[in-house]
Amino acid sequence: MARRSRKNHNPTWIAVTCGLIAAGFLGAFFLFQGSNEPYRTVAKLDVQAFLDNANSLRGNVYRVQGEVVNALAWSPTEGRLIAIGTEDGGEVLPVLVPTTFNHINIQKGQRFDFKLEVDEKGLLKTLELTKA
Amino acid sequence: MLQLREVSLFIGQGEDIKPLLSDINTDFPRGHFGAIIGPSGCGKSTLLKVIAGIAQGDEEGEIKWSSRNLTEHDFEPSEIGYVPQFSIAHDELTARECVETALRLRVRGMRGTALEEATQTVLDEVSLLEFADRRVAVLSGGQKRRLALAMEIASKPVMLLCDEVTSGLDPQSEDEIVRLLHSLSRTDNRLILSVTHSLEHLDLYDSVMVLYQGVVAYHGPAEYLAHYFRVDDGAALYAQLALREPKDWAHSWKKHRDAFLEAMQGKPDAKLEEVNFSSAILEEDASELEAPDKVDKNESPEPVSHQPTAISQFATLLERRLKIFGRSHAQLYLQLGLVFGFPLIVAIFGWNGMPDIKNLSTGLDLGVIQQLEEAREFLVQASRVGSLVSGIIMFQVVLLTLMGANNAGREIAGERLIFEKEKLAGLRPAAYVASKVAFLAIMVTVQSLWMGLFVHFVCGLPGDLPAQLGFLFLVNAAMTSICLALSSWLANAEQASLASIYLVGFQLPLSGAILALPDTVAMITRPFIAAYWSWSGILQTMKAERYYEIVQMVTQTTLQPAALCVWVLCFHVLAGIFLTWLGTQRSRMA
Repeated sequence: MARRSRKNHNPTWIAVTCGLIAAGFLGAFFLFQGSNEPYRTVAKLDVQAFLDNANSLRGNVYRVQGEVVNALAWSPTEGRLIAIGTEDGGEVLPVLVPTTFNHINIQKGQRFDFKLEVDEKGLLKTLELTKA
Repeated sequence: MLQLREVSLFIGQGEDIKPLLSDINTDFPRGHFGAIIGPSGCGKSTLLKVIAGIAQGDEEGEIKWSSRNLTEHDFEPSEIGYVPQFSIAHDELTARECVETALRLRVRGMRGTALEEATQTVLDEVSLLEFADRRVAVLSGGQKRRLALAMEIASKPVMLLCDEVTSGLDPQSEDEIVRLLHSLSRTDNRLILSVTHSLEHLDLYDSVMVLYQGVVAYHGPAEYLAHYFRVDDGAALYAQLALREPKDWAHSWKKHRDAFLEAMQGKPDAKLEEVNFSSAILEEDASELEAPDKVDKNESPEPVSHQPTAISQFATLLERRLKIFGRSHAQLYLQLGLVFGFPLIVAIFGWNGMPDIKNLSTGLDLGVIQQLEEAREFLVQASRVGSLVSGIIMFQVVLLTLMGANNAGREIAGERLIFEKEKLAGLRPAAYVASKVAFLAIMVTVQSLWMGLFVHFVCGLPGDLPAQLGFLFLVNAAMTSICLALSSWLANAEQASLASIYLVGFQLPLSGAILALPDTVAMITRPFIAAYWSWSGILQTMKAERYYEIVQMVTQTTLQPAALCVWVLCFHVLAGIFLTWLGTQRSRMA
């Protein structure tokens, strides 16, 4: 190696720097990848348990990802009641989207991540939603 | 004094190890003009590079300057000047600007009147004042060599190494350059070593070293050269050298040197008395070799650095780069063509704006046949609109990566020798890389902004415009940065340019935007494909739009969260800059 290069290059230092950079990249990569699931800290809804006995889950908060199948009903005061097809077993669930989400257009075939609460009547009420 | 003790240089490894220089022992005093001659491939230029500290290979032995070991304390940049064979200055600059830049990069506090005066002095010293305002491109070969010398003596180095600076010149220019070197060796107590093929002006040199296949065959006054080699003139010298093996010449010189030199000293006009010709020290004379080296009283063993600050060097380089860009019409027209032409190509596909989307009915009042008919129409529409939106985004992204490759591919490789020379003279690689980053950031910003704004307003591309501009900027910056790294690592501009274009070529197929990749391939390649992350990120800016789902329907490739896309692209940019900096640390002059 040239005399001047020897002065400038310390292979150990370079290797350590490269290692730290790679570790930082991979760490952040996996951290950010999690942001694909916006409500990942919330429990996933057990669809079968809900269909079997919705009342037993009242007051609980869950997350669900689903595709809009149909609009079931609409009320200017309550909001929109829609049917969503879930990934698990293709079950269809009724979900109430309150008027606070009127700014979001909901179309057939769209996929959404829902944060839902099972209300006092055993109905799934949207607390938050975002496009999947 | 420059002292070389048992200096050898080897290349290769294991059994393929090959010596380029063997056991060089010699001294050169200050204020000395020395020639290094020998047949092609004998190690002349290599010896200069070993002295300068830029020779590749495994070195042995010891080199001392002013009694200090250069392995422990190398030359200060202002102490040494290295003039390579070919003139290396930017064609777009004038001779005066080249010297001014050299002064500003090498000497602290060079501005205003001081800079002007110093430039005049240096140009005058090499007799270039008359041509000071001519561009380098129109200077003759001899004038270019003068300019190269002017740039090197700007920092008043006490040692000047000239590597075949007279080759390719006409006899008159050659004569002028050798005389100029001679006069430069008589100012500032400067040591000048000049590698030359020409045997025309040997009488002007204080000493001549003859190298043959890496060994010293002779080192003494030119006037005794013919006598030592028993030839009538210098022209027959190389033929004579070929008659014996290098080791025989080396042995012969070791054996006879002392006696030969003693005999020379007996002559009435012995030049040896004037020249501090200490190469007469026999290698066998261990006591003399091991004795403490004499310290030159006129020399400072610990030179003071007069280097400008990194910020000053950065500003000088950026100013020079902008000046070169402004004067290079080819570069200007190409950039204008790319900046205005590429967005037009993209906009052609969406000239009439984005088509409206007819949504599926969400009511329960449609019959099965009607629902199926509606679904079929929706699928046809989704395929058309989704491909259009995805394609327009990918076109923008890929064309910006192409601009990025064009921006940076040749940026460093194209001027590598100039950079290496400036690095040897004290330019900090960090300042150099920072100046490149600053210049390219301007290019990237203009290109990305215009692309994003033009396509957005002409095609009516939906989504969050500032975020889209951000992703376009990042993908261009990422590719520019990676190509800059390639430019700093590859041997020449052609290689770097080709590698950059190949890199762009991989972007589209490996992005998965057109055809989905197998999972394993995608997992391995995706982190490196900037176009994928930008495409994915821009689509995320449309998440609130219906187009987002439509694109998702027609592509099998998973879209990543915007935050992850930003992170990966930023990482590409930073990794590229880091690799560029590493690449500039390596010596490419050897």
